[in-house]
Amino acid sequence: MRRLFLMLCLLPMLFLMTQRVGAQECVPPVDTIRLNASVDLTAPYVGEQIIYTIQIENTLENPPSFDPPPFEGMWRAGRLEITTSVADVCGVKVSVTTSQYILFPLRPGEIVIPPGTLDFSLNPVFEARTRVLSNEVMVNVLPVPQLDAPDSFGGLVGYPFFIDTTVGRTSARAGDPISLRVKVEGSGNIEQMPPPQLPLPENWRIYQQQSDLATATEGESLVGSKTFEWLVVPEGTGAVEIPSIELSYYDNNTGIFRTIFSEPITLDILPSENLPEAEVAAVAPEVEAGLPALRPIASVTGRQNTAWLWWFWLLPPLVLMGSAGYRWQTSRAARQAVRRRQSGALRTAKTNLSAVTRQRGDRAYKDLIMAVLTYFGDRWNTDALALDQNEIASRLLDEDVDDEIVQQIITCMRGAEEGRYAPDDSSPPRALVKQTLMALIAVDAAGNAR
Amino acid sequence: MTMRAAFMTLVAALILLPVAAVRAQFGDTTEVIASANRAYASGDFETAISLYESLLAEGVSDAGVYFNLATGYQQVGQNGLALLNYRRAQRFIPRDSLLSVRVAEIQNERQNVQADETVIIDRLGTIVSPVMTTGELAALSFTVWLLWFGLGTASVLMPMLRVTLRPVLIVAGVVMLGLVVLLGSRLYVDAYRPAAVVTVERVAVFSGPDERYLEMFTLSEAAELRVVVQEGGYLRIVLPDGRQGWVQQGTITLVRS
Repeated sequence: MRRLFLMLCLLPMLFLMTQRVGAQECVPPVDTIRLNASVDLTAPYVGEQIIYTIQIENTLENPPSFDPPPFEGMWRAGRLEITTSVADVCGVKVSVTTSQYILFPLRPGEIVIPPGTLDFSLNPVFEARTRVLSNEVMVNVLPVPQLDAPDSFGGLVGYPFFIDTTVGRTSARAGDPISLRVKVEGSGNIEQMPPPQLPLPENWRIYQQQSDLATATEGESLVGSKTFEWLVVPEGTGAVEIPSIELSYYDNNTGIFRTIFSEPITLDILPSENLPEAEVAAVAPEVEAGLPALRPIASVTGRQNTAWLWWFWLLPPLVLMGSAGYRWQTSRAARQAVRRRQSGALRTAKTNLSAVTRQRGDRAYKDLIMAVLTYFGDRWNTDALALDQNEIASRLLDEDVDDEIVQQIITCMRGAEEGRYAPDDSSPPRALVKQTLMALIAVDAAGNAR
Repeated sequence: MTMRAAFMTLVAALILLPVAAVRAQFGDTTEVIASANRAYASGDFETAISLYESLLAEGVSDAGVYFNLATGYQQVGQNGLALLNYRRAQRFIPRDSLLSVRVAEIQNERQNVQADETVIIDRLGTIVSPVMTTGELAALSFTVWLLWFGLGTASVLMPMLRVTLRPVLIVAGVVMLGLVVLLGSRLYVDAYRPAAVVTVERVAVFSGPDERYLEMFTLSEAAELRVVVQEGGYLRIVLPDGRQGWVQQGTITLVRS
């Protein structure tokens, strides 16, 4: 009974203790995003592969992308598969994303990899972006020991490597180029590998062509192949040999230099056909049966820059615009001359009639008629001599000039005509001139009013 | 030596020196062409390809070089590069029947079945490509352009001819407009939507300019497409059927060399 009582007292205490212990262990994550950068090798050799790892712990549903640092002093050769895992911490889902970059140090000494950055915003619409930085990583890069380095060592570091040599054809005529390919494959800094030295005779012509690189990741290592290509023109005829090509690399696992060799290749060089080159080039070459035909290469000139020809497109519109401008200018000048003539018609008539007052006899009447005709010729911008009384009367009536004024003009002109056939030489026809002037002023006023 | 003789010598030297330089270059180029043709004829396609490529690198611009280079690539089974160079040759000789046959051969062999262009601007830009080079189209357009503006100038300067010229101007104007639209769209497409060919075995097309985006589909070697945007190491491409996506730079090559 006493035991039972003790157990009943202890049970609630035990329950409370368990709860407190559990509460102490469960610490919910404070940071929304946390970055941690590291390398797998802090003291690599120059050219030895290291892996830069960045771990992104975050509680976001859609984690933003990480911008890696610039990796100055390192060659960034690629990246490994991104892995993501999710853990439940006190009811909060924490995602851990791991990105790994394959790097090759390019120089000895201390290299500090600066922090990588990650920009994110919990609410992209209402909140500014927040930047999170990773930690810096220091790498102490060691130089490859140069004392034991063979002559054929060009900075290749890794293990293992293989070398293979092939030619486009083993038989050719003297003077014809043969393509020579050296393929190096293996695991290491193959991307920065310089071309191997070719132990060919000095009198052979060698033309370096492009190199071809193919890399991939295998596990956590970068593997690949680099193919160097040359065109070689062997000298001499008969059997000539492309000797074995030597290549050394530093095995970073064992710390020793290793040297590999390619197989030598024997070429059969036939005497030249001595065909004129221009003849061979200019016509479509005959090919063996079964091979698709080639085309003759007609032009061997370089490319000409013809961009300047486009400027000629501007010429026709410019000529048209110039013509239209010229046409507009000349018609404007003509219109101005007409306006000047029309606006000065009465002034000219006054001057001419004033001159009539100094004339006598037939001349005076003739000049009076001429002054009237000139006025109307100017007013209508037409040939004054082509006008007569009927034409003037008709046109004035068309212009809605008062009938009485029209009759005055006609009366004046008839008076002048009659004066010509019975001239009075004693004095100028002042009265008629005055009457004519009044009539012309009335016509002019009627025209202006209209 | 008199002044006159010295002057004549200088003039002769100025004329003859460039001629000698051109002859020297011609000699070298001819030798390379001959060697390349011989290498091809004897079955050494790799050497032939290298030599034709070196001709192009030297600036030799001729349909024959592109054609022969493409033939070499076709022989070694690199259909992407073969189609690329056939397309380049077509820019010089679009009416060449043998060239059309070779292009059709590769199109039949490639894995991606591709129809004609469906985007309007691309259709307009390429509608006369099979029959006319850009230079020929430009020359024809310019001739009609010249004719129209000449007639326009005549009708401005000689108003009495306006009535007679009006129907001719309308017809020539319509033709000119059509040709200018064709030429303009062709130049636009060449400059801003250049044609390209997939030159690797297989290329993944992503929904964005990074490999982390969704991989939508893949294209095989010799597939033809157009490049519309470049961003970082990625290119935004559009296929003849209008599908778009992003591919990594280096997996495709522009036909415009």
